[in-house]
Amino acid sequence: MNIKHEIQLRTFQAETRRHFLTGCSLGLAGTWCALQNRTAHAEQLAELPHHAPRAKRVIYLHMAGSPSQLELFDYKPELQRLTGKDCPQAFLEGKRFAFIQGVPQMLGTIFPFEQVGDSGAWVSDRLPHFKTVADKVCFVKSMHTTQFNHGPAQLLLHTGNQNLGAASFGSWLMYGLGSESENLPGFVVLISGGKVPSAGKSVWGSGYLPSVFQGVQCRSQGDPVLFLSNPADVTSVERRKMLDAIERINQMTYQATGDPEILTRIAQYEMAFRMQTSASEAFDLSQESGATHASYGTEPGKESFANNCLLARRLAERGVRFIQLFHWGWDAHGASASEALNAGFKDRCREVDRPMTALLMDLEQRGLLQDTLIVWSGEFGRTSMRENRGGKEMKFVGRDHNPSAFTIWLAGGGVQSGSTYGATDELGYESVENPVSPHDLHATLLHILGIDHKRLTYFYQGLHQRLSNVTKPSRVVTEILS
Amino acid sequence: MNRVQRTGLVVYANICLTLVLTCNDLHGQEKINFNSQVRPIFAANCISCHGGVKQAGDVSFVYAEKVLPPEGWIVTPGNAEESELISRVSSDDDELRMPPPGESETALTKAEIDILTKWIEQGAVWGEHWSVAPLFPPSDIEASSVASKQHPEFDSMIDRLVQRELQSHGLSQSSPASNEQWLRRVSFDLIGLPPSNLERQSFLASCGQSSNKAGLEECYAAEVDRLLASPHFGERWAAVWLDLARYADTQGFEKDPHRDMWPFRDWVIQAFNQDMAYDQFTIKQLAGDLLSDPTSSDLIATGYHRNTQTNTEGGTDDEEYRLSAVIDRVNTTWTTWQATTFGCVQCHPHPYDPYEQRDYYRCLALFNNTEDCDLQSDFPTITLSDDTSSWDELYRLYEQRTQLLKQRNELGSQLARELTWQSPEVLEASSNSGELVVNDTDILAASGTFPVGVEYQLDLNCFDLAALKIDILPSLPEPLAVAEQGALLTQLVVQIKNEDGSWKTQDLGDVFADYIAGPFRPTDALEDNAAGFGGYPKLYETRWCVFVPRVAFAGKQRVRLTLKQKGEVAGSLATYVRHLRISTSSSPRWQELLVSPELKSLDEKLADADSFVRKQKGAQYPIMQQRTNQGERHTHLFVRGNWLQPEQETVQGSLPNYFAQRSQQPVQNRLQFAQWLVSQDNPLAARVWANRVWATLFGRGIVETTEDFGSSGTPPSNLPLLDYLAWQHREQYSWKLKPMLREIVLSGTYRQTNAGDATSYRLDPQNIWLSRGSRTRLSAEMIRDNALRISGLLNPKIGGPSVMPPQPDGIWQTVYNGSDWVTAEGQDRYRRAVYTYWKRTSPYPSFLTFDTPTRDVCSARRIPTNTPLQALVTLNDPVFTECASRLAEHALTNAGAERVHLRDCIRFMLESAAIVGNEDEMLDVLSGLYERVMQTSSLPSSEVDLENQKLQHSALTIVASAILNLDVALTK
Repeated sequence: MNIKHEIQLRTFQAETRRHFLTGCSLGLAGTWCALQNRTAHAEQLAELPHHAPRAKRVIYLHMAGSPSQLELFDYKPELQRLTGKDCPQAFLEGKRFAFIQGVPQMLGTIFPFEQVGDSGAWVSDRLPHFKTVADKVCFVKSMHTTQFNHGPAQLLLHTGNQNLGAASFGSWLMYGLGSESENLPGFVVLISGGKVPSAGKSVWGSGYLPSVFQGVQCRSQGDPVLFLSNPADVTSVERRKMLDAIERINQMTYQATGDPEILTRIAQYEMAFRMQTSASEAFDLSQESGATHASYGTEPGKESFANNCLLARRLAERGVRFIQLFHWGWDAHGASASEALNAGFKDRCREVDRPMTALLMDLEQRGLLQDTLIVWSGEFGRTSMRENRGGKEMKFVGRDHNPSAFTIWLAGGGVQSGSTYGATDELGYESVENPVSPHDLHATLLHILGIDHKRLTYFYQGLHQRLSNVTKPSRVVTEILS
Repeated sequence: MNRVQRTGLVVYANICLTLVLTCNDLHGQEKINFNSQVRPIFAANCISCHGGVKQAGDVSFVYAEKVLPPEGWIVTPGNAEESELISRVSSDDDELRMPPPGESETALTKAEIDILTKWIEQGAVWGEHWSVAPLFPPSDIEASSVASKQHPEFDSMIDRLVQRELQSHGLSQSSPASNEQWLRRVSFDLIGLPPSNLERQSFLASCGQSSNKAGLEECYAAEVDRLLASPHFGERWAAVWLDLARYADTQGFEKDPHRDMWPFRDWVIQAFNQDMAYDQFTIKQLAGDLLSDPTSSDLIATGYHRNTQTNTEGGTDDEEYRLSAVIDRVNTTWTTWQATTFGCVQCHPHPYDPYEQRDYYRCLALFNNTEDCDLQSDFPTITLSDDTSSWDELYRLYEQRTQLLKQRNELGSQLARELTWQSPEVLEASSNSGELVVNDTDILAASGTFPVGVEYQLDLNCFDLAALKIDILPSLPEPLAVAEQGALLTQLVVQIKNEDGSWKTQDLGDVFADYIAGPFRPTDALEDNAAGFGGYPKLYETRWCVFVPRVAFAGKQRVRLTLKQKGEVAGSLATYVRHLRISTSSSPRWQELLVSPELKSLDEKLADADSFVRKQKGAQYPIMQQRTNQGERHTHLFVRGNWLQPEQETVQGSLPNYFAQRSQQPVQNRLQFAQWLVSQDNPLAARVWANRVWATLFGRGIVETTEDFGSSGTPPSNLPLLDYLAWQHREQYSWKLKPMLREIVLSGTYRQTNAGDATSYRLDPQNIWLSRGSRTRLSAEMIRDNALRISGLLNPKIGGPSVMPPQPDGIWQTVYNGSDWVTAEGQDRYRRAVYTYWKRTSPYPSFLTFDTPTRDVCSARRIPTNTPLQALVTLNDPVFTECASRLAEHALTNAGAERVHLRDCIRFMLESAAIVGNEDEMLDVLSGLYERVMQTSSLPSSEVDLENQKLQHSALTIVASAILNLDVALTK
């Protein structure tokens, strides 16, 4: 191999990398585009950010199964009065429910509410800790979706499309902004509640984007990243020697063939080695103080939402771009104790109340809240009627899926704290004031991150695909921005 | 129609011209090529407003007739000055200029306007898009182009066509790869595995013995023939096809339950191994069930489109997800065979290509009449016992059973149609939950809740009762715009009032339905269970059935009917009857029918077939089964693609207009559609498959967008080469894959070394023009198979149910799903990747890391990535560390002697791994690694002896693991 040529190649490599790593704070994404010769994509990415970002990273807390807004945030005295009465026919006409059939009965909230903080937000007694930070968040009470089944609704909320195959929010950020962390995956997913969300791993998949942008599911039990640990009988000193040998031979192969992909592979093996140390360190909760553990309610070594919240903060500190938590078990239909408002739902509230509150306060204390965007949501809301599965009264109290109204909250960089946006009707059944769709939410979240949702696109199947969905209307909800 | 036909002829003429003429015509003026020069200008500047979707001013640059006269008004062929197009694009007036300043910052360049002007002056001949243009063998000019000067021995047609492009880009062909390098590449490409040490040595030896070029060619050809004959060939190529078929072992969506789908995977493997011609391969998969006298194998092939997902999440609408599966079949078919982004047309006309929205539904209608309906049972299925030799007989009886069921039902339904029916007086109608109302002869569910298990009681006055007909009607007027919730009568009990006022239950002899459809038999309505008669899971139209008591009742009778409705669909939603009518017949022919020899004979045969089919144990394999004509579902265009907004008009199944106009044969059903796909009328399918084969070998297609051959895809880098391969495959090799592969892998183009010189990398960094051999990372499947093979662990068993090799704990956390990953024992741990259990919501982690799709939907291209997570898999995944350990063990035991040289051990491992490169240099580095690892012990490190094997084995394992992680081990 001719030395001049090698230098040229190396320069090309270094320049593209430097361009993307420093100029656009792109990690793998830019390198990938450069190596794949995706110039059109690379040019588009070079325009980012489109405007000054208000937040650098996202922590998305997804309550999989969808908690009842009527038991947490959306207080409806009128509904209370109607409890036990037959649902008016007007509510049922043209509606399709997952389980309710015939004529169900109305159901007021089963927990007491009070107004809290300076903002006077309504919060139920299920979230005593959260009440203390209600002034830090912005409630959106007028969310609505088109999907009334978990899988499709989760896909719509996280990929902008209820069908499989589209790219998730996090993978769009990886594609558009890349990672700030050299040694950790930029898009980390943490699961608690013993189950992945209904839509499976597709909610953090890369869909039509290259697979390098997909979320990496990390675990608070076992290896945080799959296959992170060396085999039991290989020490890290031995691993280092081994990687040195691999690199030497790979260099020889590069000399012989000139294939630049080999240089990338050498770099990726180095990153894997660094990740072994840095990911292990990032996931080591024993480094935290007793006070911190107490505030989050963490128990190291277990899989829990509390552990994941604390990990979220640690990952945010280390520059991870998108941290997505799924906590399963909110589907309170009333079919069994674990899925009932008067039983399992109370446990779920207990599991999330303390840690999500601690996360907000902790981020604020560390000065991270101002450039971290936190989103808390389910995938849809619950009905104002009590569920009557199979047309019969059920053993426990529960509510069916309601795509027409649900409450989410946002906090952190770019969001107006202590505010409430939108409202449902008197019975909490439909979003009537300033309704917000998942597409609007995507446009807004991207805006906060410095991205014009119409300009971050990927050409696939003849269409400039985008997170906010080309075929659906969407707008930035500027009213909730600070 | 006339106009379009004429356009077609003009187009044909134009293509012939472009094939014969070079760039300059006889007058020396540049001859404009519509496809390469004019169409790109339209595509880049005009079609966002004047395309398929938006046709501002009734101008569309997608359709020739919207541009050219008589309908089009912006071009006057032969006269650029009079053409509106030219005056608008060259206008200085911002009000007039196209593209308008608001839409596009810059006007067309002078060069672009020149091209358009010349094109019009030369007659404005519209050219057909390259991918749908008729296929021809290479022209004389192309065929006579010269071989490479440096390597004149490589002058196959492929090489000559590649050479033309290389020359025009100032490139030249690289030297042939070493024998080892070619062997490694061809072995992975053809069978997905590296050559074994023995195979490698034997090939190199025979190459060494051949004294001349002809001898060497023979060695190469013999090696290719050996690989093509290997039973592992089918496994390698099946892996390619299974992404397109979105093959998986589960149903997908929320609960993602298990599905017995593996017989389809095995069918694909066998089809490739037998080198089934692509036309047969196509027809069987898309319409094997509609062939005359199909075999069980033809039926198994139809599993291709039973790989769609089934949504069993509580409360999901079975019609929505049935349609979603049918839509997926349409899209997948167009992606797989036609590389056409047909999904666009579901909601609106195609923005760039000439397909209108109605075309989508023409195609949907071809796929819309199969029996499957999003049920968790995956109905219809056939039981495939473990004994594959019984499958043909099994299928014969299964088919016979279906026919017998129809024949016996026909006896009753025919009679019902001949007779007149009376409406009995309805005295009372009540329900044990919810309110019924009687409106003359109609009984309706009026209000309240009708739960699963609801029972209606109807009291009637009947006269001369010989048979009772029940009509189950939709609650909305017909024809229904959208199918209604199912309505199922699961048991009818008939009682007659005795003189003493008590009720006597009558013995019902039989039930006959208007037609047979859905998962139940009409006679199921005689039993007290959740099966019965009606529309299930959805009601498309009024259904009726006739209940025949064993004895008729003369005179006036008070009759009480109890209608039990235990049916439900996902989400415990009751499938209760919302609207019904009762009528009676007094004809004695009903009771005669019950005892007729004809019915008896059919029933005896049916019982025999039933008992055989029921005895079978094994896979419940989903198949395609066409609905009877009587039960045909009507297809409607969905306004903006929304299934809840169908147009009134019915759409008949046919080809899209564009193709119908170019086709000689009628296409009205699925079988004819499949036959058309692989007919001479459709050059696209041949091009798409040839390109896919090329992409599979070279890592990049001649058309890079293997999934999109339309205007929005990338144009071919070498159209004559693509057309040659497509022509050769279809015409010369009669659609056989193996001879085509043989021709490609023996070509000089394929045999080039993958070491690129400076010019090659500078002028062709992506190797688009093929100035060097391809160098690509192994696929996810190969990564696994390679490690198993070189460590001697690979279990070569072919076929059978999917297996669960080790994966980390806690990966499967699917909701409402009791299935567990039960790690395979013994040899099943070491099967090839293609047999690994594929769970859609949670695919095998290391495969995902190496770029496999999830197989939720059809995937036409894997985009290779290079990530640190991949390094972690091959470094730390216990599957790979076990392979490394085993390889080290073999190296030690293989030595045989008491004391062996370390270098021999490592050489053995490198050779086992079929590593190509400078062996001495690698040996130096790897011996160094061994020594450095052994430094911590006091043992001599330059030799290996059996006494201290344990320690040495663990050090050698580190070396083996390093070998498995070398770039040269991960690429081909």
